[in-house]
Amino acid sequence: MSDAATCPMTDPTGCPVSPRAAGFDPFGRDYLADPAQALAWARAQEPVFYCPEIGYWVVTRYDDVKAMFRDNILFSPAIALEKITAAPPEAAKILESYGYAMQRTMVNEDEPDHMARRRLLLEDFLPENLAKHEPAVRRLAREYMDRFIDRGRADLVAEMFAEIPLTVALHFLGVPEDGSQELRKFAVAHTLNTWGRPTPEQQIEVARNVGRFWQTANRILDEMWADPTGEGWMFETIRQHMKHPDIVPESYMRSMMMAILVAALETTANANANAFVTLLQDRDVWEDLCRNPALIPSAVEECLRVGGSIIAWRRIATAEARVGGVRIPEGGKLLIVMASANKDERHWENPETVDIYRDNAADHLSFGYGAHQCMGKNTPGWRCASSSRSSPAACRISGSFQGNASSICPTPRSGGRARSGPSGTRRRTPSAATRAC
Amino acid sequence: MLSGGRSFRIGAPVKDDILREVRVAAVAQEAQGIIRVDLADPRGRDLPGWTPGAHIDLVDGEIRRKYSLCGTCGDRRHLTIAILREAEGRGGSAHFHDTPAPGRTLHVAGPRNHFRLDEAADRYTLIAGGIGITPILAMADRLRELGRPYRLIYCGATRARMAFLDRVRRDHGDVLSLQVADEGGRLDLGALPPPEAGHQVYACGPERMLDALEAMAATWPEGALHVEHFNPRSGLLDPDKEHAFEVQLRDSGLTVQVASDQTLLEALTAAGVDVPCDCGEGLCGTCEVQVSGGEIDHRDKVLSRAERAEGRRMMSCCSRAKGKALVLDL
Repeated sequence: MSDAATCPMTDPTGCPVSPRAAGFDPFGRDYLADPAQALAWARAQEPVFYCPEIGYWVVTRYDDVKAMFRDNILFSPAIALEKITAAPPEAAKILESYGYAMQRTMVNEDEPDHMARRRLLLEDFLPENLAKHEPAVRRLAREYMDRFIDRGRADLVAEMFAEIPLTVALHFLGVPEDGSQELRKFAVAHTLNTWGRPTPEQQIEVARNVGRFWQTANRILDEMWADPTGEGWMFETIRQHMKHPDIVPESYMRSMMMAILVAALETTANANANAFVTLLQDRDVWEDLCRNPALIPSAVEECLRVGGSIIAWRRIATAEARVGGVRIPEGGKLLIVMASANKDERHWENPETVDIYRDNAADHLSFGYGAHQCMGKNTPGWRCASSSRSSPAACRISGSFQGNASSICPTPRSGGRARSGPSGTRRRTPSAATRAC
Repeated sequence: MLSGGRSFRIGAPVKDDILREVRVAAVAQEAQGIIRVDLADPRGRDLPGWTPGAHIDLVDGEIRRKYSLCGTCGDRRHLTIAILREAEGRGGSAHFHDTPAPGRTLHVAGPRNHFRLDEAADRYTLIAGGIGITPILAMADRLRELGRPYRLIYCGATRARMAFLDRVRRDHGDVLSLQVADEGGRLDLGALPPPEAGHQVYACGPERMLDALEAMAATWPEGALHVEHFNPRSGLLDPDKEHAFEVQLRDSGLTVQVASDQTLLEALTAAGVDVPCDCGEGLCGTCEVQVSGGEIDHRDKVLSRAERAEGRRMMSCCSRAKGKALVLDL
């Protein structure tokens, strides 16, 4: 502290760091519980600021975040999965012992490779190809709801959202469902490994789980590869590898196998839980939705705006750049906070209000934008919509729970989860959910 | 019990599904040919807040028109608009003039704001022509509330046709310059001093007035003028006069054909490329796409002359290709 007092902090370009910027804690409870609120001061006063804690410029306004997503050459995603907390050498040894060889994946690779691969692997994600999954998703949602509908109460996270997205995701990928619980645990480890601030002891544990995740993911991949005729995106990726090994090399396929499982497991389950917390916190919103189910698609987008499961992404400037008027040197690292952009009063009317009638809610940046926009952007919407769209059941839930709102409070599953970091996936903390009730 | 769920199109939500039910709370004659309509939530709940310059779409069945909000910003119980009966219009304003009775149910979309007031400027000039007073009045109210220096120019053909005159005089009389044509007070835009740095001009009114301002703004500091148009530049799509063209989407590697009876936006949406859109008439700028090749036939009212000449951006709801193809950064 005495150092800071005598020597004003500066960013790498020599500009002074404001006290608020210096005090911003990207691992703190405030930011993790409500990133947009924790950055309200920045959107108003210092929309792009340097955070000494992590050595990143933090970008908070809608237009700046979107402009950066647009330009993936100047703002390379190469650091998107870099560990934000350096691991001790023991952790690296552990990973090595599992043959861990994570290379570039779709989220952190540069052009021209990225777009060539993306084009080859996009087909299954196109709206018309997603439509064929609908009956199965609907059946699954019904099955789960039938289990608790007559009981009159449910822990929706444990009894629905933790299970359905995972099952659907594995089905979409063509990955067999056995061992799915283990995969889920590993996915959390990967999140913590990448974005979290684990203690040195946790690093060891995390490294073990990440290593086992790598092994398991690749064992599954090998089994699929032995007979690559099945249906599902991972089978399609294997087939594209066999056809175009230059564009989809084996190392890429192996890395992607693990990465896509994380994307499928963590983000969708959290987005579903966040969405229902959002909708159930405001009785009027929920009742309007039950009265007029045609609003479900816009409600899904609004939920993704206010509670998207990914808070932020990271980029690195490949040349000197200006973002929101601030000079970023070549090599400057940027944390671009979609959760903040999604509540920027310069873009949205009433950003704080959950408004399922918001007809531009789909402008949210929760899926990113441009070349690296989430390929699965239509899958979560379609999953949320499918599971909630059995509207008589949804209304019935609301009806039977009336007067006892606390019983519908989804209790996010704990699980000894250590704090996830500045751009990690977001799940409403138990305390937030409890407060809401 | 759980049978018969509904199906939704996969992709962005359908705009026509996202409508909020409202009740007409009051209708008042605001001036000759202009009514003021106060809308309220049918169950007495708060309506969404809004900022000066925002508009809503007022919807009655197939009829959908945009109106600027001109009530009190802090009043969450009402959304207030003013509707000028347009004799030459497509019939929407006449419909709302002839039908809204208190108690009647209508729908609204929004509020949205494509004419946002930058509250950080040093000084403001607000210019309203005729019914263009609606967003300008909300801005003037806000600047008064903030205690920012501004002047308000309000011009019209004749006093009897100028809405909110009493309110304007009462709340903004000390900074008001009233220009009434039939009293010899025609607005002389040429006399307007060019804005200095930090000085912003907001204008809404007839095309003639906005065109003149845009011509003058060519020598003003970049971004000093903000305007909002009421009407699209030209008529809607006439397939007999259009030609089909092809667009190559550089980011997604797709090639999309745009038929002569189709807008670029429609063709993109059909190909699974979500481009956000609001007005559909080239007024709001929501559906802008980046262009990296081909010559553009600009038909919007959003881009400035310089931006048109640059040929890097276009509004996909109305603008087309001059030639046979365009390359887009999508």
